[in-house]
Amino acid sequence: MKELPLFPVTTVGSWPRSSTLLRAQRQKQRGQISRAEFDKIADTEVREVLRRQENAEVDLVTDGEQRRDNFYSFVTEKLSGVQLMTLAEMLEVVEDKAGFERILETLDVPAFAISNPTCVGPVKRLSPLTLDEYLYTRSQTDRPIKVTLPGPYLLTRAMWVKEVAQKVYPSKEALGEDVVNILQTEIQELIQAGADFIQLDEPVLTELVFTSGQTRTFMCAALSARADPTEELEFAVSLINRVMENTENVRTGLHICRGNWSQKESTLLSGSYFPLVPYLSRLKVQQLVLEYATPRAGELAALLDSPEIRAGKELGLGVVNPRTPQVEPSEAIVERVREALQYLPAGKVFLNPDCGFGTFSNRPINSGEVASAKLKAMVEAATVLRQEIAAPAQ
Amino acid sequence: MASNGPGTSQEEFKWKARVSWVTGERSVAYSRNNSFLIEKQASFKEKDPHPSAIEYLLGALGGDIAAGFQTVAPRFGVSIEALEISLSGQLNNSLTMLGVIGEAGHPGLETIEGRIFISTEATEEKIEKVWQSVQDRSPLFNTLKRAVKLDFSLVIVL
Repeated sequence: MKELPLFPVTTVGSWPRSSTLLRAQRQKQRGQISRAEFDKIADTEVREVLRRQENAEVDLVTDGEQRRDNFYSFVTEKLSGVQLMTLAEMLEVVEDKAGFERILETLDVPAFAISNPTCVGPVKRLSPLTLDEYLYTRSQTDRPIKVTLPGPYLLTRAMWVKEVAQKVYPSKEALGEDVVNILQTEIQELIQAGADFIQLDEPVLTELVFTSGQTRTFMCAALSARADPTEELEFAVSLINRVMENTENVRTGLHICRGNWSQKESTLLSGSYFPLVPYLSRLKVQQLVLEYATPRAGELAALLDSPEIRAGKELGLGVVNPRTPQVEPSEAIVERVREALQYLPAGKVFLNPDCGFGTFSNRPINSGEVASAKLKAMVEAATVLRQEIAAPAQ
Repeated sequence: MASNGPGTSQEEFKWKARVSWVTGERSVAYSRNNSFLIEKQASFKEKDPHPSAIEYLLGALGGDIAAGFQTVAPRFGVSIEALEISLSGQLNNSLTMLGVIGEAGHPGLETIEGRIFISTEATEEKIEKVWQSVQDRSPLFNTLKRAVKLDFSLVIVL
């Protein structure tokens, strides 16, 4: 693992795609260009995303998830037994069509534009999910690299469209077993290859606690119905902890957010981390990569009043909103970090945006220019904070 | 009398439906070789066995527009990869439909809103032209716009 400075600045993973890349992605999906041809175009885009992060002096970089259609369904082409189903196709098979209509209405998207990786056969790993992405990124930068992976609960929940999947697996838990095995293998290979930080994305955890009383929500990765939230959270903890076994030689993190599909804040979920604390504190991850740049995430105290969280976790503090065109002043970011320092030592705080800048490739929530400016604001804040630690005010 | 059988001239063509009451608020409509069940005038329930009359109207308008795009787009050299229309309608005053005494207004649709999502390589300008032509040629759009405010927008999805 490469050394990181105090208050490392990083991203949550994704970066807006260029129109060239989006076009190439469509051509690949239609079989008009090969994977190799697509990768050649994506290589150029990854280099550009890295250049932007290096110019901003980001400490821990990602490849911007440029090769992915979104943060989780990209696994479809790397697994057997999984098929991308558009919501239009899912509408045909699910019973709760009215629930799906509410999802589409809230998202203001057509059913053909949202695809879900759905289990249609025994799920097996055909090729690495992210190792190739990491190896290319490693060849292009000397900076420490973060690799983002969809978490096991997210994947199991997304793939388990009961009407289709129960023909293959007797239960969601049985499907989860195969997902855990796939992610364990992937993570061990990433560790062997030298990845500096492995982040699991589990945004759906918030959906469990902030949409009480509903069987469905409009969170894209949570289209399939769920069981009781407490049961689901226990299931999620057990899956994540099994995936995280034998990861002592790498920094690990878990990212949670409240949705990142729209610039309309009112459509995104809202609520503090308090109801998740009993579960987050038991997770075998070093860092929680969390939203904190909007009031929707609640107060820091709701999380950091917990002695278990303070003792056992680093905090990837969300200090910029990836969805707004306004760039946060570095002074405001410094203030937010100082608040966190009332609970945590300096060595435990990372700076990141609340979420990716382009979670869904065809629905970027910001431009590369604004995203770059937000990274620079975080780096400016980190610089001030490092100076304060090095030479405390008298 | 005009019929919709083969050999009828276009000027005289009439479309027909025969609707028979089945049970409760359910009816069945027969039209040419097809039939479909209609449940209620308009329903406020989460679930019903069949669509209501008002939903058939919205669906019919959407189907008319979608078919119109398929007819018109090739004439503009536009290839459409995917098309989806989301429609919603609001009654002027639904309480009048329920017969609440003393309510003002009427139970008719006040507005129909539509979002037309299109995935295409064509420019926005060209798609706007296609959409204008679809509107000009659409039987249902032209019927309804004389009675209801139609508020439609186009969204191009990459």
